[in-house]
Amino acid sequence: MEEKKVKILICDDSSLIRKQLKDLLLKMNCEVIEAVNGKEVVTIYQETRPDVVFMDIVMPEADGLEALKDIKAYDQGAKVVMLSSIGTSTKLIQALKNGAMDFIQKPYTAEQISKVISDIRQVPIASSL
Amino acid sequence: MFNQHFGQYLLNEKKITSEQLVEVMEYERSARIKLGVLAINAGFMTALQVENVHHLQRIKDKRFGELAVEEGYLTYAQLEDLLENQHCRHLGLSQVIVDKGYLSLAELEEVLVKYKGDTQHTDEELDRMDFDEAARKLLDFSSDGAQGEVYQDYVALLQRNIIRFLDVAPLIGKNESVNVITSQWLIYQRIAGEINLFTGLAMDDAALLEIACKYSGEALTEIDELAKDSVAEFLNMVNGIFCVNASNQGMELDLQLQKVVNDQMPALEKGYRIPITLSFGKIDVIVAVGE
Repeated sequence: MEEKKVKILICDDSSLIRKQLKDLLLKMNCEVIEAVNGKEVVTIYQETRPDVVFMDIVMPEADGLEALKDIKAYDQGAKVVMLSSIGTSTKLIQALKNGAMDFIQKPYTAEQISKVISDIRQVPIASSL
Repeated sequence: MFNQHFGQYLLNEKKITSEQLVEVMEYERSARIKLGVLAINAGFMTALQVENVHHLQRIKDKRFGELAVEEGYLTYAQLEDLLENQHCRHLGLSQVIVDKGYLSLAELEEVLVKYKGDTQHTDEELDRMDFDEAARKLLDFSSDGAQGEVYQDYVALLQRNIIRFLDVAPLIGKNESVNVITSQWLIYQRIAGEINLFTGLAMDDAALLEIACKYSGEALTEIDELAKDSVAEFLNMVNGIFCVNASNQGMELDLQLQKVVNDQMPALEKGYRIPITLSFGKIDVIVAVGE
């Protein structure tokens, strides 16, 4: 059976993270869109309605936790995975309170990303119905 | 850890230059430790006896151990002991220093004896010594009180992560006070919260490119956005771990955005420069009060 094409929005100010995560996700047969700060990601989310967002926390313009709130205010069902080097319990709790689906501490592994994608593939994707 | 500690000792004692040490470290991993160096380190043979066996090897077609036993320099038990330890990487640095001709066997013997006397550590203890202890022994932040403790922890953490993520052995030098950064590049990030810490890595073009390649795993050939972001991400990742460690001890800290600059260097308050020698060059770690 053909895999569902999952649409992913990556938001990180680091070109390294965006490149390497994109390379990995393309190998997993995903469609990838990029944003570079916490303000841009909200606009691009509204325009593209991705299935999942992978988002950094420490970013220019608006940080990832603020952007998460804005995305959830626009779409309560948004699936956002925080991807940050600062994996303290305070940040984790803040992220979950703001509606994050998961929290992965950098450096991430391919397995961690793959698990998120395969979980998404298990549920029907609204945009493909 | 012995190799790093001993290399640092040789630098501090001015027995070899930092350029020689960088070269030696490049070869150290592939070095096969020869019995002569092992025998001197173990105190079984003198440098003169090793030189004599080397001379005999040139005229007799025999192995080092065989000749050393024949000459009465080693017992069979000592030879067996040395052969068992020949696979261990522990003395790689000494071997390469001798192979490169930076120290003669006699000079190596002298400095090894002095080193063991000065440090009061056995080989086994040196192997077990961790970076926290090494940083604590070498770095002096005694006039900085609690902030000095933070600097110690930070440098030790950075050393561990240089090994883990860049796959090179770092050799730290003594810290020096610094107010202005004069390097080609400075990659820095402030950590704020219950403590305020300025962290930075100062380096030249070559070191930046090398660290970027090693951390990212990408084949980078020029200092572009990806190269700069790679080094910035390395610093960010180290600082993230620092914050997690602090959080586990009940101290909440936050990271600010990393910056990569080659002009308009930030002014530092009570800053320190800690030189780190890596196999491909030198960098400075910068720590300061972060406000």
